[in-house]
Amino acid sequence: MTRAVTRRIGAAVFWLAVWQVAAFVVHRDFLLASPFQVAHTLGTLLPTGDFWVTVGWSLGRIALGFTGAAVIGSVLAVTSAAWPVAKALWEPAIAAIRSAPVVSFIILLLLWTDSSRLSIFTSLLMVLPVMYANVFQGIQHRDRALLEAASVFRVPFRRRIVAIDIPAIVPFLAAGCRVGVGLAWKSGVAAEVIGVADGSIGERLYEAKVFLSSTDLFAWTIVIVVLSVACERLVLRALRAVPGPRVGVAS
Amino acid sequence: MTTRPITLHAVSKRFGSQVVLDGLGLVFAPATVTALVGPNGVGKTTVARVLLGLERPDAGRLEGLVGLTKAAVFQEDRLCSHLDAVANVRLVLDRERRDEATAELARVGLAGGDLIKPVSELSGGQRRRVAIARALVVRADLVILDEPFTGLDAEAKPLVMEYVRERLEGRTAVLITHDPSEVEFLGARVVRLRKGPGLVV
Repeated sequence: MTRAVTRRIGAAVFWLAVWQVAAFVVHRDFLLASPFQVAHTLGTLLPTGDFWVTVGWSLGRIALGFTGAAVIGSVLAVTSAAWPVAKALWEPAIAAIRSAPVVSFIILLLLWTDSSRLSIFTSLLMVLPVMYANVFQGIQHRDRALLEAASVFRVPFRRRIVAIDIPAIVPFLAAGCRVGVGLAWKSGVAAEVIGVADGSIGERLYEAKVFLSSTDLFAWTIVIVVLSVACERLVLRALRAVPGPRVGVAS
Repeated sequence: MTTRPITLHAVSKRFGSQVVLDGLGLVFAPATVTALVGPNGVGKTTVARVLLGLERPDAGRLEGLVGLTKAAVFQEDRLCSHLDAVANVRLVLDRERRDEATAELARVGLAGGDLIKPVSELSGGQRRRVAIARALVVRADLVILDEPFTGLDAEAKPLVMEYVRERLEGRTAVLITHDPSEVEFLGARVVRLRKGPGLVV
């Protein structure tokens, strides 16, 4: 076991101990459940089919929102880099989306659509500005000298995209994904809670609030964190498969 | 291969307040290697960039460049660092000539394992050889060589110079160098640039 791993396990044990002591001091389950109670709840949740259906419900929609943001953000960034008119058009809208509070979107979207689609659009809107900004920055940071060489040698468009453009953009896209995945989960679940979306993780959190069950609240929060980290790893692994310099694509 | 001369008519170029070319008149004879020599900052690389279409002159006129295919060995290698040597050369080759990359690299002394590792893992001299092979494998009408032999070790340099001389035969080329032996070896016509307005060669 390396020293870094030992240190990490030590830190986890320390915070679990702090949590346990705090729960002992508070001594009220509905205010602060202990780590053992949460672990027990997770243990009873995991083998049930209902749990996986709920996870699948939220995962599917939030992943869809994130993917939509990545695709739309990339397309908008490419058009912005290519045409100043497009940049002038998109940037105010992107700035507005970036600055507006997430609840404003959630309430507005509730007026337009039903709660089952709320997390898709909320996560999409929250992640879109991040993906747009990162991809645009990646395009701006392409190696000018290499692009000049490509133009002198008349390298065909598709080859240039694969050999020069994509490898330059991937590290920025990876950085955007790292932030974006967490943001998608946070905003998506918040939307599910506010919209009380039937069968979602957000609905379980809402029920935890209604029934004053901090055990369920902590258990589902841990599930969200694990799902968010797993999604992030998956996305970064996929990006590592793209040929190019590995800068910024963490292992 | 072009049979037309390339002519610069009173070309001027400034970067900010710095005047780099001031009414320069210059003729590059076809199928000839022309060596641009002169002290640093006199505008040799700017002339090369104008010829490659990478800089637009502020004033003056260019003649004989329309429709020409071009290739260059830049001062820096300008290779895709994550690609191997063969992939870097193939990048500039037509689909039907892609198989020629390995043979071309062999001509500059690169073979075996050096061909399949990313060029970022090659030595500076090896990367230079890849850049030279990439420029000369293309059957370009105009070849720019901006200090092409910089960074080559004493062992590789004669082999690479011989390769360059052979590949430049019958082509219009511009050599930028500070080394008179390179000018002599390539049988280049020398153009000495100097600072100041209205230089016509």
